Amino acid sequence: MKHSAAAAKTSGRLRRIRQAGLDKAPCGAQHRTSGTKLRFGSADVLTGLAGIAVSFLVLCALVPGWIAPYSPTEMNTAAILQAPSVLHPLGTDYFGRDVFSLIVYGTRDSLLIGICSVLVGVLIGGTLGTLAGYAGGKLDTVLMRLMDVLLTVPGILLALTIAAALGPGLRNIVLAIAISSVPGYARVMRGQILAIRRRGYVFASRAIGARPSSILIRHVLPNSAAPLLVMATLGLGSSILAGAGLSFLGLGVLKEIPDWGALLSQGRGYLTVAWWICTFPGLAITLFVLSINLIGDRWRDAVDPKRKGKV
Amino acid sequence: MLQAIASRLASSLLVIVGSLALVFCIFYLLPGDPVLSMVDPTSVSPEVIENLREQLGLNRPFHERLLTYFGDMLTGDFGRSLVGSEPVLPKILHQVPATLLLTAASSLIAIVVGVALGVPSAVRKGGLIDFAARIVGLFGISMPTFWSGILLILIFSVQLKWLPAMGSDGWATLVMPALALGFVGAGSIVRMVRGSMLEVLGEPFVTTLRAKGLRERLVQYKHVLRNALIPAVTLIGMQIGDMLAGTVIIETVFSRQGVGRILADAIMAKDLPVVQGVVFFTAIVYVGINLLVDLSYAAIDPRIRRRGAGQ
Amino acid sequence: MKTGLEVKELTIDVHTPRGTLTAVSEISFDIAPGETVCLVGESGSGKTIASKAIMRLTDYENGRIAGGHIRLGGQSIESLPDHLVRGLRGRRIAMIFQEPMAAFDPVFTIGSQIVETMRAHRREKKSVLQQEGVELLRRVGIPEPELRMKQYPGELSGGMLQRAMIAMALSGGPELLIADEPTTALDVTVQAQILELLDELKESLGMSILLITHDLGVAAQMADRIVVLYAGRVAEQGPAAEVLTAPRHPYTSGLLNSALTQDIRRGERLRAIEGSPPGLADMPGGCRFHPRCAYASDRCRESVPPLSDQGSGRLAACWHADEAAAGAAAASFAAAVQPEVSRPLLQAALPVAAINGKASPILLEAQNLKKHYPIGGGWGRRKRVIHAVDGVSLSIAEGETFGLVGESGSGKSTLGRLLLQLESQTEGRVLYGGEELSPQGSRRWRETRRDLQIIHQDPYGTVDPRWNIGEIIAEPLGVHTKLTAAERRGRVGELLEQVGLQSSWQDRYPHEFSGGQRQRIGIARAIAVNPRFILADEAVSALDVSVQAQIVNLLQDLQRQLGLTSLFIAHGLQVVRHISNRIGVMYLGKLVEVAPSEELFRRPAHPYTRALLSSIPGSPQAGNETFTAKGEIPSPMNPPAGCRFHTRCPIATDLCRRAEPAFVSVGSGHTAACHYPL
Repeated sequence: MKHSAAAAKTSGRLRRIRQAGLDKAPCGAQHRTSGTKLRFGSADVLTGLAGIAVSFLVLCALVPGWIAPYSPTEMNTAAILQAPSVLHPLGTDYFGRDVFSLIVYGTRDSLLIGICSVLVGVLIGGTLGTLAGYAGGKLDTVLMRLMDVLLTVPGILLALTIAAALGPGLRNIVLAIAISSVPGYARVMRGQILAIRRRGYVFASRAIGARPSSILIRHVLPNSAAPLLVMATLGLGSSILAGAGLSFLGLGVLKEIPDWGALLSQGRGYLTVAWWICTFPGLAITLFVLSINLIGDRWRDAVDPKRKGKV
Repeated sequence: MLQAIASRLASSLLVIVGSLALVFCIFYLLPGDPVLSMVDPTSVSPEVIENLREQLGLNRPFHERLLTYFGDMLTGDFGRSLVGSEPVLPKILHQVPATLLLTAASSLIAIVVGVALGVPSAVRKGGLIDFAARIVGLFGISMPTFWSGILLILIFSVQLKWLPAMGSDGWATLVMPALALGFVGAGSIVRMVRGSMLEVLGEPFVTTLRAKGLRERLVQYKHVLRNALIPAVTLIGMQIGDMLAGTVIIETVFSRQGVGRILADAIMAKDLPVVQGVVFFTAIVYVGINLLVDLSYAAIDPRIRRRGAGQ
Repeated sequence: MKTGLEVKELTIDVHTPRGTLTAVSEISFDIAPGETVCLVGESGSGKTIASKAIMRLTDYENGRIAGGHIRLGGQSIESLPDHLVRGLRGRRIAMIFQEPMAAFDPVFTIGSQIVETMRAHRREKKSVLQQEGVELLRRVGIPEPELRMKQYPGELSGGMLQRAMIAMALSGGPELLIADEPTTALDVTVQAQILELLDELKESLGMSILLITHDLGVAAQMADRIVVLYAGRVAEQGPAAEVLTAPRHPYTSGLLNSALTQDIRRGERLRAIEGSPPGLADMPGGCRFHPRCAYASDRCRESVPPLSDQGSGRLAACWHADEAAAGAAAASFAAAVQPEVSRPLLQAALPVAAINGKASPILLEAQNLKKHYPIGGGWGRRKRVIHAVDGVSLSIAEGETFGLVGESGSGKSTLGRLLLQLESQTEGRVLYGGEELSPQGSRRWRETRRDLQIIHQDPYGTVDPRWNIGEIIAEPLGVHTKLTAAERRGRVGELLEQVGLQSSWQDRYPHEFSGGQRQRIGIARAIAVNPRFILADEAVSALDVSVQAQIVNLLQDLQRQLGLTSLFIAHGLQVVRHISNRIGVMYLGKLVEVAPSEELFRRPAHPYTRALLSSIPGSPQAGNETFTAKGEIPSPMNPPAGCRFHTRCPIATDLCRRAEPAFVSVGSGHTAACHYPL
């Protein structure tokens, strides 16, 4: 501890030196093991594929009727538990419903849960984080302690508890997942705000005499937002997973058309006779989340130059 | 050092109290009448509903309820299950070992796979192991546990008939649940360890180590890994917590006995006292894990040790 | 057979995401046993990469030796198998680095890192090596070496760590020590100690040193021979004394002119090199220096000048070496004779009274300013206080440029911010035009921002990367004026031209500009609303030497044109001397001496000032123990009692340990806080 003040000062100076002397030298800052020629999966091709997958699923959510060959409620007693075939590419379930069509129609709720809960979570978390970071002092302490308490219960469990308390339904599921994700967003936003507030240009703006509100709106918020947005993208994936998990446990949207989690849960009973009922909805979830994560990773690398070329 | 541990214990206690209050708030303050979510008002007479309110103490003022709640918890009285009217605490305690065993096994898999893949993938960036690490990382965070669990059952129980699909007796039943659950944690840990290793590999001191003529193995496994573990340990702690929570789903998928299963059943039966009890148990384990994480910090990073000693 | 290090036509490629770039092209130089050679260059010159290539450390950083030879004692290094190269590293060649704080692994003790180095090259019992480590630490002047062995890097100061790094480098008994900017991150008094240590070790151990530096002063003090690098090529090399006094490459003479050497007169314009060093990706063809060179001809644009023999062991890569050498000689002659011509001009522009510091009205005044930062606290921890500024009084007259110097922890930047009321003082008052400055955030405070502006130290961090240049410069106009958008654009265009940029660049973003250009943008922003007072806080410290001179010139021009009063804060003494009328010296939160600029340099009255001056590399007193400060600056958390400098002062007595000295006058306008002024 003795030299920490001096150390802080020195590190500032070091940064200056680095900026002055080394920023033009591409050596040093990045590491890459020499001699490795093997490179699998170009990042851009993968991101492109992920983009196509996500676009397709969004299309499924918007206009399922264009894509699905059958109605999701259409029960064909003549075609119960049929294996994948030309007529039913992903097979049929116990009621003779076409699994592919069910998956296509189920996209909407899964996506809706994901997007809404991320929006609500980011909005609440971002606001709380901004408040805590900007106000500091007591408000900061109180808010962050509150977030710590929320974090003592693992996210899934918190969502589960809230969903159980609220009862099933789309709105309640969204709320449950959103609340459980709030502490994460709040922490990141607070950290960002604190970091950006220490930036030279914020100090410069203050020295010019700009009002605190204008500094917040014109400098701090725009520069703080990027990591939160990246986190929200990756959060979209985990929210969809959480939503699927909740409806798998029976806390989902109880409707005529099952979402992916519910579909899987229903299919569990026929595992030994019809593997396709469980397999394909799960594959849909995985592909969707995987694509979102690929895009999120790529975006994070673009936003954070420190991580460029590392994931 | 002792003082540091004491203060950590004190704050852990606060966190447990906080999470208890949280659970209380979730059930008693969120919109929605818990009684109405427990019974169907159309089929039950108003007197029954009123009786239930009385029984749950819902008619009393908030602070009084909160105090009673804490008082009951302190004396170990978690109430009785609404379904079988057996006391909650013994019901949960009875199942704790099974769940802890599953969590420990999954954590072991997650940590071993995560570190064993993450470290070489950063060192040989772009190579085969790196490719494997990226696959595990991406799929780990993108696959729903219930789906990977079902896939395992399909392959190893239905097709190959190597492992029992359900039950909780014997080690064979532990394999698949632990794999399904551990895979998720492994995904996150691999990503974290890899990123963190790459970050440390770019630090100036690594150049010093090489300039001293140290063997590359020593540079990477003695120095870089130890520095990279510092941020990774936090994440590992959080992952263990998430795996504990994940038992809710996994125990359901594999029809295993355990605390998670109790919770899943309680949620379906809207058995609120049991839900509370399980969340309380989870919070305690979670706090315990965090305590361990803090202690392992001190073991890895001498700077924290010194600060803890009050220097 | 030839021994020592021989580098011949070394070319290094670097793989980047944008493709393969050549960082260093065909550089050649030798180092004889026992010799010190300095590799001098600015950013992008390739000096660090070249030094790393000698140990093949470039292998780990996307680098590849694309051509040429490196031989140590006749043995080729460039094609040696990896395990043999590792045997060289740390044993025959050792290296020390720029940032001692970052160059040690933070989670292992100093001792274990030193012992580990020895064990990499020989088998020996740990306890024996441990003892050797202690001896090495003692050898490099570290007190209580047994204790230090058990400490972690974070527990030692920068200077101590650099000594420990040197000890670690010595542990293999190297023939060659590569020192990459070993003192750049250190305070100037500590830098002097480290340089002295290196010199002494070289003499007694008979090793060679390759010293990489951007500081010509350091090169002048240390080097037997100098190799000047520019944009990845050798511009010139030869014996140090000759290269520094009679440069044969225009870049070298430009660098020498830009680096404020002691004999340049205050206020005079510096003969700076125009432009800034090129980046790796946009190297000019032909002679790489031609875009910035006064002698450039078509030949320079078309073909690369070879490194040719200039007689008496000197080499230069210039088509016009003879003209350049003659030009440099003429210029230094002119500088010696002519400055009187420009002098009257300067004096007319500055109010005469300001120079004497008497009659001109006081614009800004600090009265007993204190700033204490509480740190720590919380459960079971003692609350401590950093005494950043501890009772400083000073006044700055209208039209004056007041310079503030001091090492890290002296509180000079904090004092600057207090004067502008960007931080609130713990105690004391700040008067602006005789009126107390209103507390932060009030309306009156905001209004005074129009008069009081800052040029910041970090040209990279102080402009918002999301704003374009026009918006950045117009920010104060938006706050303090009611100009329309079109008027604002017009004003920004004017300002851009005033600071030497093009008015059409308004829509560009900061990342398109070099450090020097960004600093110009910062200056344009500072003068946008015609302030009366400007605080320049380390405004040129982060810039390359050649760019620094341009900015100093620009600042001086603007000051004259706009009649500004200013406070110029810097740790570079020469810059402060050049630009200021009066100088204040700070040490650990206290002002210890105030004097007119030349007077301070000619006749320092405080031992600390004298130590600072003799620490300037290349100064006549460098290395003289009676003039230098011992040890390092103490922590501002518990500053020494009595005179704060007594712990490091060569002439301290009991009185100094007990009583704090008051300011005494030692000449006209010259005061010092010392019991025994010199």
